[in-house]
Amino acid sequence: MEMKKTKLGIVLSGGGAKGAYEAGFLKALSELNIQPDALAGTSIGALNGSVYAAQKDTKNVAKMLEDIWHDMASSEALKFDKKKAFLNIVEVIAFFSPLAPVHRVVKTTTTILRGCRSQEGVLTTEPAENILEKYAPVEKLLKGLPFYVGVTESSGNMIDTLRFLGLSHSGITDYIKVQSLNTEDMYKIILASAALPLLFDAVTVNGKNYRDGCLSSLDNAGGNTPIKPLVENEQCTHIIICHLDHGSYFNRHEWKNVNIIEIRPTFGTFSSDLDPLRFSIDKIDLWIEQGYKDAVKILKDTFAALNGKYERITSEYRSDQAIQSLINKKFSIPDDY
Amino acid sequence: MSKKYKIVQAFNLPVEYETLEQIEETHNYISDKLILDAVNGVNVVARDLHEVSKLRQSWLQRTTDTLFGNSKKRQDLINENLIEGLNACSQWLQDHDQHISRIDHKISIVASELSRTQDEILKFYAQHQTLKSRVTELKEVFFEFETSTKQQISYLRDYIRNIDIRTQAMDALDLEISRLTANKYDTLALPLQIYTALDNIKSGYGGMYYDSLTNEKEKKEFQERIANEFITHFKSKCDLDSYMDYEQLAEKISTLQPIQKDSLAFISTQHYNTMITNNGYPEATDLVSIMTSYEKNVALQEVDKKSNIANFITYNDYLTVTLQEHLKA
Repeated sequence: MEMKKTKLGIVLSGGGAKGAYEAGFLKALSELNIQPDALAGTSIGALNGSVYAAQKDTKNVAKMLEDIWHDMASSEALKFDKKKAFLNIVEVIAFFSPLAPVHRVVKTTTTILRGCRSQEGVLTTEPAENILEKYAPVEKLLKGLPFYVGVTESSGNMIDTLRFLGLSHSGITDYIKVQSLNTEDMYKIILASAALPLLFDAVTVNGKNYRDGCLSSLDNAGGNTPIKPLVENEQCTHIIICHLDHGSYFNRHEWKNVNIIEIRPTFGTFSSDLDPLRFSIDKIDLWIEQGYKDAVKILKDTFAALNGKYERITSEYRSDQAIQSLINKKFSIPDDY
Repeated sequence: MSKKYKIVQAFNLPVEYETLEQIEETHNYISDKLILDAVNGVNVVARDLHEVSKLRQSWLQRTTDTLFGNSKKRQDLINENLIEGLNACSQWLQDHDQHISRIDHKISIVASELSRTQDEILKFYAQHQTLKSRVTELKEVFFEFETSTKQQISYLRDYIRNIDIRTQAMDALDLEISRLTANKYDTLALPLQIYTALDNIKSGYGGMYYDSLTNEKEKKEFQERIANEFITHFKSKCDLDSYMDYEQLAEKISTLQPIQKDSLAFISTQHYNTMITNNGYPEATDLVSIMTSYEKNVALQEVDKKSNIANFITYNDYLTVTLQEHLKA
């Protein structure tokens, strides 16, 4: 029987500031000497993954990401654009207002005022761009690990927000390999993967406006957990997934013949719907530590089980050899002397 | 090295690549995926979903979860993970059952080999007992063999040594005949020539060879050989059957250099004493000893007194007597 060629992929889910948990996860991978062949990420997972893909070596990346997250916690990670913030908030409030007819008037007015900028957000991507330029330069990304991001084609802030709230399931995930794009679009697609509606602008790549991958494939969390390109394009046989949500709907059993290890945060790690926006030092440290502890425990438990199997294989192999040797010797004393 | 093995290494799994390849050719083991479904799918995934499910207890949460189908989706995932986990456990058990069956089979092979080995050892023990009973017999055989071998070796050693000494003895005889032929002893009277040549043979390898002989026949052959060589040489110089003239002998001795005379006196006297000690009966030796030890007249008187010295003796007899006295003393 020919052994199947095997490949390890790592999936980093999205979750805003909860992405610090992934820094702890990578620290655990580093300690266990795990080195992947390909990566995929969505949203903050795309940002973390871009550094991982560019730097390649897990040990370096683990230390680097810990530093990046501490820097983010001590600096202004989310920067508001005041004008954009005002315009978007007005639109959402109007939509949910009991005075729906008034909304139409407001929308018409704001649309005229904004000049059809319905896919804009209130935050600037400058801090994220700085991280990309410093830790994931384009030339390193090109030579780095194969790296995919999950993105959703934007349908405007309103629909995108409904998708974000789980009220619309119309979004479809596009899985794009960063290295397949031209250099100008590489950062764009990574930023698009993290572009939540209302907060960030949709990003245009190859003529399409993209937003956060978490907005699509909600039934199986396929957008926020982009395993698909690693299995279908990279033929990964082993996948380690780091989730950032409690109770993710990702269904491992949809992926036959793929060995999947899921790292899910210990219940209670994240306690608020606003956690994705909490780039505070206390939370960041806590989540990095929790990500490390959870990953170490889950991976060690899993490896212990696999270890048991392989120890059994080894001992059976040795006993097979010993018995074969015993039989081959044909120990016998001649009758005559 | 295959990539799978690299992953296995990364996971710190204690299995050699070659082992993995060989063992997978012969045995079917539970797949890694099923183990992951059992361990990770149940302990991590189902537990996580269950924890979320337990938390959403408020009226509003239950209503929204029902309304948007989240509770069903969550429960379906819990169920699926549990079912797959149980399925994996069931296959894992089967895998272990098969493994245990293989172990049982191996135990039966080992037990069978052990039993056979036990039989062989018992057979060996029986053989050993038989051998033990024959040890005394073998010991005697070995002793006889050792003795016989020693004798053979001793015989061979003697044989080789005798061959060597015999050659030397014959060379010594040839040397003396050559000296006689070359007139080296011409200053001596004929009886003294005989005595001196025989003494040289006896004092060297000739005597050694004669003493080493245990066979009387061989001794006699050697003695006859010397006698024949001497007779052949001396018969051309004189009539060997004529009687020796003691006065002429004494006269001739008196003309010798003192050192020659003293030497002959010393040698013959020593020879005489040895023969007396060994209960021999010296005649020719005593004659030479007296003749070379005294002045002419005294010597003749002394010879005349000696009953062991014949008054009339032919050269031939003198040769025979001298030869015997040399070889025996």
